[in-house]
This record gives sequence, C-alpha cells and structure tokens, in this order.
Amino acid sequence: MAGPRHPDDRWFWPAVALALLMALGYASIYYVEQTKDRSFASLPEATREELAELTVVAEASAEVEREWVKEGFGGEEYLTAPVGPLPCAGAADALPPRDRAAAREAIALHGDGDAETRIERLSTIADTEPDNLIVALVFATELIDAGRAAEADRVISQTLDRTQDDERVIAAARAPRTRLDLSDQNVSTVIHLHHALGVARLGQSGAAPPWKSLKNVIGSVKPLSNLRLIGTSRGAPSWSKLLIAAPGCTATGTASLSSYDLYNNLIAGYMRGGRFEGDDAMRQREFSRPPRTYPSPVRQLLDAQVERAKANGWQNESQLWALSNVEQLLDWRRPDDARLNLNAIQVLDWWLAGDRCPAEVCTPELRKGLAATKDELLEQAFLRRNVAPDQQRPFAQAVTRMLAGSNIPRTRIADAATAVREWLPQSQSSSLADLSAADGARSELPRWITGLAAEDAQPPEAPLGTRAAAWRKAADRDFAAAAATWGPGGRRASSGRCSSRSGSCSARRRRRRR
Amino acid sequence: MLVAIRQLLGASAPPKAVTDLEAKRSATDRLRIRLAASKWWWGFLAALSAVVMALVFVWVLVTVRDARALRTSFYNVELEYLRSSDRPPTDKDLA
Repeated sequence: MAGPRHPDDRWFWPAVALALLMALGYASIYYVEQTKDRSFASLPEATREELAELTVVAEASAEVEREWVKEGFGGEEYLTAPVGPLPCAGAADALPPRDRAAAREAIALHGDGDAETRIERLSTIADTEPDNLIVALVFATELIDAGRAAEADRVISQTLDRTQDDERVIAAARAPRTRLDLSDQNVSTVIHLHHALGVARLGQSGAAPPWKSLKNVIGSVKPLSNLRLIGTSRGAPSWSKLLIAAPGCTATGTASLSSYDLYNNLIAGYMRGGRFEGDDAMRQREFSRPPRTYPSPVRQLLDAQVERAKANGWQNESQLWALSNVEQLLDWRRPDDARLNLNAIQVLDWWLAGDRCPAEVCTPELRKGLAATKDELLEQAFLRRNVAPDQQRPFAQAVTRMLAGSNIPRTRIADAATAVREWLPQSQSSSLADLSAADGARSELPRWITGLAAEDAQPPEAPLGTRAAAWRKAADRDFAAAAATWGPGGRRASSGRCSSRSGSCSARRRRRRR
Repeated sequence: MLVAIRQLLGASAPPKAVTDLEAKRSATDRLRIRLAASKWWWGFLAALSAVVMALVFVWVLVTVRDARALRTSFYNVELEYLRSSDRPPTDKDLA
C-alpha cells in the first residue's frame, strides 16, 4: 500500500519479532532445563555410576523380543535323528553261509548308480532273501533316504515278522548271563534295524506306534557297555554317549549311530504320538529311582509329575516317559548333541506350559532351576549345532525362538549365532541378528539413560532399526523396574535375564560378595 | 528417583515395582511427582511463560512506540513522503 509510513515502523515490527523469538527461546531453555533437572542424568555422579551398573532384569524387552520370533520360527516340532549308516562289507562274513551272498550283493550296491536303480535291485534281492536282516537294513536305509518311509516300514516289519533273530538278541541282551552269541555285529544289526524302523514310523503320519522299535534299541544298547566295547567306554550307562558302528564296520565315528540318536527318537516318538501307555510293572521300572539328597530341577519336576499322574489316572503318560528319559540323559551330563538338547528343552517346555504344572508343583524356585537347565541346553545346542543339513533350517528357527525366551548372555554365543544365521532365510536371519544386538543394547542402556555414555555415542537401540522404538520403550520399563527396587548400596532383583556392562548376574553377585 | 523414573516411562504403564513404590506416598505427593515428571506439564509451563514474556515485551514496545508517536510530526512525515515521490501535489493532496 502506497503512502507515508509511521517512522517507528522501521524498528517496531522487527522488535516485536525479536521479542517473540526471545520468548520462544526462553521457553525452550526453560523446558529443557526443567526436564533435564528431573531426569536420571541430573542425579549425583555417584548415584549415576551405581545406576549404570544396575542389573536389569529383562521382562518387558524380552517380551518384545519374543514377538520378533513369534511367527514363522516353528512350533512344537521334534527333530528326529536320521537313519544310521549302511553296513560295511564285513557284515556279510558274520552271517550264516546261506545268507552271505545276498548280503554281500546288497552291500556292494552302495553308491552304485542312482537311488531308484539301487532300490529296484535291492527289492529283487529282498524278495529272494526275505528274512535276511542285513539285506532288509540296506534296503530300508535306501528307501528312507529316498523319502519312502512307508515302504521302509513295510520292508523291515515283514522281515522281522519272518525271523525271531532280533527278538532273541534283544531278550539275550537283557539277560545277565546269556549263552547267545552277542557279537558286536548281531547287536549292531538289531539296533540299526530297529532304529531304521523307528525312523520310518516317525517319518509318516498314521503309522504304527514306533515305541516298540525305539524302546528295543535302547534295551539292546545296554550290553554294549556291559559285555563288550562297541561304545566308547566300558561300563558307561546307555544314556551316556555310546557310538554304535554299523554292522561290519570296525571304526567308530562318522559311520556310527549314537545312543543319543536312539534316545532322541524315543523322546520324539513319545512326544509326537502321545498315546503310549505302560503297565504297572513298566511304570515301576521306569519311574522308581533312588532318592537324591540334592535332586536336580528336572528330577524334581519328574517326581512331582509322576505323583500327579498316579493321582489322575496316568494322564499324559507318553509325555511323562519322555520326561523320564530326558531326566536320565541330563542326570548323566549335558548331551553334546544339538538335536537332543533342542528336543529336551521342548519336553521341559511342554511340561511347564499352561496348567500342566500348577503352582504347587512348579514353584518359582523350580521354574528358575529349570530355566537355568534349559539355558545350558540351548547354549550347548548353539555351540555344537551338529544337525543334518536337511534339519539346519528348522533347527535354526527353533533355537532362535528359544533364544528370545532364554537368559543366555548372547555375547557368549555370538559366533555360533552368526553361523546359525546362515541357515535361516533372509527374512528371518535379521531377527537373530537383532536378538544379539538387543542384548548389547540392553547392557549399554543404563549408561545411556544415566548420561554416562560418550556424548557422540549413538542411542544403544539404534542397531535395531525399525524395531528400535518399541524395544526402547520396553527396555526403559525394565530399567525403571530395576531402579525402583534400587537403594543406595545396591539391593537387587535376582531372577531372569540380566544385563549390566560388566557381565552376568552371577558375575555381579560374585563381585558383590567379594 | 520416582520423578526420573516417571519421566523415563512417559505415558507408558509403569511396572509393578514402580507402582508399589509410589503407593507408599500420599496422593498429593503422587500428583506432584507425576506433574514434575511430565514433559507435557513442563511444556505447558514453558508455553505459558513464553506467552507472558511475549505479552510483556510487546506491551513495552507498544508503550515506547506510543511515547515516541507523541513527539512525532506526522505533517513532516507526509511532507517527506510527498517530496520523495515524483508526482507534484494536487489540490486534493494539499487540501
């Protein structure tokens, strides 16, 4: 608009703008100062140092992490041990003369041509020698390897129906002073054959229950350590790791079945089928154990569940037998078998879920003890990760899911987790990486909250990308819970996954005691 | 400590340990803690103080401007304006 201007307009409006800016600036400074003065960062230095070393129990953040692996990381799936290796050429020599030619021919087919051709030729040999256990073993192994579990089941079942050799060996193995020739080869053949039958039945739905064959092999393993030495150590119990060479094979090692494989499949069979019922004598044999002064958490769980089963008419008996076998195995030592460890954790989880373990049985102390046992098993599973290539993906998915719910310091298995990530599909491997990153972030967070982190440091949750915001909110909640129970001098919560810059809960407790 | 905890949590529901600790305080104390921990509360106070400060500044400026206006000759202002323009004054302008 044209016309004369008020002479004070030159300074008035800029001055008004400046005044508003000053007011806004003052408000900002006021806001920042007031909120900062009431944050953890404004607490005295000594207090902040103590809070930064606070042991934070991950509850809310662990719940968020479990959400990351809720979908697509498998469910209650029991991994089965594969069928054992094929017999060696020497297996035929130990057979009666009339059976040797067919056995030699069957064994010689190993690696000859494609699988279909071998199966056709083995079928012909088996038709001419229907009661030859070595032929049946080779034939069934080839069928199982080709994914034809139902046919393998039929082949082995028909052969076992025609002969009593296996029954005699099993019965003799259980007798303290047998006159039957319990050569390594005879016992090994029976074990491998029944194991193959178990694998075949576990590999198909609607098949006959695999328990008899699976239980038979365990029964047959016992003389291995009592009478002779296919296994690694004389006198070792069957639930320790015994290697059972394939028939005719002298060397143990890769061409061996392990007693862990046998236990693994027995446990998988009990859990998958869930219909096993024993009689009173069997139950007495299985569940009667000498009392312990300091029973393990698994033993306490088993004893309590056996008592409950007696009272409720042996509900969930099949799973109880699985738990009993897990207890036997763990009582000896933590198996160095990743598959077995994984299945053992799942059995424990099954018994801890829902109303299967009421509060009077599963006390907080027992649950804490069992959680520690599961953590040991999971750590061992990560570190060993000795599973067949075709089971690597389900194994990786299961251990990732379990890791999210465990209290293992993830830095301890960092290298193993990196290796396991390779087995996961691209879309899922980031979840395992995030679980590891979350553990690091959790230990850094107290220093960040208390303002003791380096000034140019990124927020600890930054590596979590799009998951960072939700995780941080939950982690703040965990820190708040820890801070609320903190008092000068350091009174601390003592359960659950812990994090502090200086290590695990136990390390903190040790330092505190010192 | 409770104020810092509450500030950290923001609008999130507090864990049980925090509510247990708060329960030992009186209702007035709890309200004071919640207000002191609330960033919204300090934001509101900051905005309020900014408005007050701005009003004071503007009032001072307007007062100064008015005081100066009393000593200003607007005839001179208009004359200066007309001199500086190219157009000669018309009768209407001079009237």
